[in-house]
Amino acid sequence: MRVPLAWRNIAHERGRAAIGIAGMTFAIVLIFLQLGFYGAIIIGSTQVYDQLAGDLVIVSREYSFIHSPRSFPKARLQQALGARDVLTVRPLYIGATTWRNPATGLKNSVMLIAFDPRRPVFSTPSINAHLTELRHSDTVLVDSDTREKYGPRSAGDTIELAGRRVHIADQYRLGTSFVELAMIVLSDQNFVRVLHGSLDDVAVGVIRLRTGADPAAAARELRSRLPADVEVWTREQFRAHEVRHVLLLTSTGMIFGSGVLVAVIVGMVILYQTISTQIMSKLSEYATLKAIGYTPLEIVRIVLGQALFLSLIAFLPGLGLGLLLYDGVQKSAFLPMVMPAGRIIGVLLLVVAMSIASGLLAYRKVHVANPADLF
Amino acid sequence: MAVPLAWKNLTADKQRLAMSTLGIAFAVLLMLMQLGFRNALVDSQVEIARQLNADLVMVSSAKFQLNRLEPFPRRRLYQALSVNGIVSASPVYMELPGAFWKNPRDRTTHRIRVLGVDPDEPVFLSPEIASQLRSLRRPDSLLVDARCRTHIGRALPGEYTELTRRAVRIAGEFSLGTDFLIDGTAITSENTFFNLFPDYRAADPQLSRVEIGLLRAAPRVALDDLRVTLNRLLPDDVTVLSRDKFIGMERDYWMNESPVGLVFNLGTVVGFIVGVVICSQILFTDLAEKMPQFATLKAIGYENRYLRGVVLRQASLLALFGFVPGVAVSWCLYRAVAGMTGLLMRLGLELAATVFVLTLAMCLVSGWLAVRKVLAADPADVF
Repeated sequence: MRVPLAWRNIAHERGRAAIGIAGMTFAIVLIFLQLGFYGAIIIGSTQVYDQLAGDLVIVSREYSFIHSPRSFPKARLQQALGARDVLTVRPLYIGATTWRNPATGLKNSVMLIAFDPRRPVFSTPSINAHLTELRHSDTVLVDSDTREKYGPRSAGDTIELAGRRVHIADQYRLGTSFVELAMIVLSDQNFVRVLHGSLDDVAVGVIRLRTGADPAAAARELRSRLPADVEVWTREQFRAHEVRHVLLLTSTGMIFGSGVLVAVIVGMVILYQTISTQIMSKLSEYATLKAIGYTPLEIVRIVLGQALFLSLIAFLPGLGLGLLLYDGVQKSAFLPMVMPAGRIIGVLLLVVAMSIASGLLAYRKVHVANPADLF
Repeated sequence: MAVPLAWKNLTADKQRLAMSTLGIAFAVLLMLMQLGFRNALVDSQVEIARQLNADLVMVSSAKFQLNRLEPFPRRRLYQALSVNGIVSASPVYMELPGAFWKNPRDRTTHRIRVLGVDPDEPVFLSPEIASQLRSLRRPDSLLVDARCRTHIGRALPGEYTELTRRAVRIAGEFSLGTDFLIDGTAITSENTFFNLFPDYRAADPQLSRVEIGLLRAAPRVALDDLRVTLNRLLPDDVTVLSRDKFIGMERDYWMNESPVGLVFNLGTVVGFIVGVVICSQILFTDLAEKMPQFATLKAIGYENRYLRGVVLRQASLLALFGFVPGVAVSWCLYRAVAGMTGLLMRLGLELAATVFVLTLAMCLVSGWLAVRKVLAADPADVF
């Protein structure tokens, strides 16, 4: 007799199964959502640097992270040029100032990224298309993720940076962050005009190597060549540094880390609770199967089948809702919410593992159930 | 007949009750954690403002965020003092971008926030800070935040370290906490502050660059009127705010402008929905099993209103049962997160009440959904 019992158990009482599945779906949504936020923090921490066109970077020995870079003397860049495999060394400046919306007079903070437009440092086409305009005085590019409350921010608009009127040539896109809600790219000359700083204080030196050169070896050579007030990192080391900083040394990273932990634990408990409730509600049917001679193995198979069916049915809408929420958060909060394939597979494996574990736990009850007691 | 039916239904099967309690407790935990994180991030931003002792606060009219420096000339404070009703005006100086703290353990440097105050004036409300201010009269001494981030290196009283390449002595500690931008805070005297950051001192002391002015009014003065008068009399480069407005502006920014509010509110909503589903499931299963009993009640003449009452009471009890362990576990987690991050995780009455209302709503919604099945039961069908 080949009755698909696992399926029929679910299909029999559709209402109850639907609630169970809804519960599991939202548990899965919860896990996806928290992982999405966590991922957004990681992506957000490196999204600017990821667009740098270089193989190595020089930063101050006291460099902390993008929002607190400290500077080092520009002379280090000239010194770096002496190394064998170094092709170009270009400075990147980072600063923060006040953006005034001239229409309303409201002020907000903005992050500034500057470089010499004749020696571009980004590989972003939306920035490199405007290199000539960037050379004009008081002309800037604005990140398209800049929030609405900053006021007019399209090509042709005029805004005030630290009391100085500047002209917006166009928008580009690198992405803003959790803390800085606006970003501007401008030339080094305009940067100095706005902040009254000095071009001698570099935040990041972007090094390009000759083709075929080994970045790790070149970094070693530069480290031995340059004074101890700077660090030389490969792209991977730079990325790893930023991610490590934001995850371990900022409150945001720790909060979203614990958010993921809580979501996974709560999600697993809910999956377990739902699956075992669903199986328990059929306890007398399972006992009957025992009475009419089903072997334990056959019953385990049915129980696990039911658990797996439930979780797979719940997974798809969970993933769908998760993607919808990612899209909504991305659009309204400008957080980089993306769903890598690895995350989908990981959560699916977690759900399957949890449903098998819950199924087995629930099966113990079925196993000890005495058909004679149940009626 | 006063049989507490809801109670008896709920407690009949102890094991199921434990499972149900667990499910609700986790929903409570989820909502409390999300709202707790949100409040922690917002509260931590304004904690320093809450510690300042003022009836009215004077800031530059360009100032829009606590940690974005926009100083104003000290002369404005003297001008405010000339207004009837103002009894004292103390300056608070602040430096952030240029304040570099050397970790006394591993010699790395980190950006911190430094406040400069007059040690003889009652600048802080916190008795812990107020009682130690006098120790700052000794040059180059600091009070430091014991709840600073661990990686910047906590220095103990009596130790020496460097602040912006100047040797300083730790005179004492206070407990404040960190936020998005600030990894630690140090308080020092006005004179030490000027030695550390000479940019803030002007040759004419009237022009020293103050960040926050703390105005205290004579007792029983109408603060709103006083504020209006001050804003009328003083030049446009400064603005006088009520203490609540000063704190509220900062809170609003983090709650509404930054993604913080949205992210954690969304987390709370998902927690709520998960809770509704869990609770419905519990009630559905329970009611399905008690169907014969409910049908019997109907058969002997109980009305739908009574049955609905029983189910909703049962749902409310469930909310209460889940809420207590949920709060207990959250309390432990709050302490752990606060210890790890230095953020202010407060499980206050207001938050607990909010989450209790949410929990009750969650259970009542599910009770309402589940009761329809009972009402539809036909006694003749059940047996």
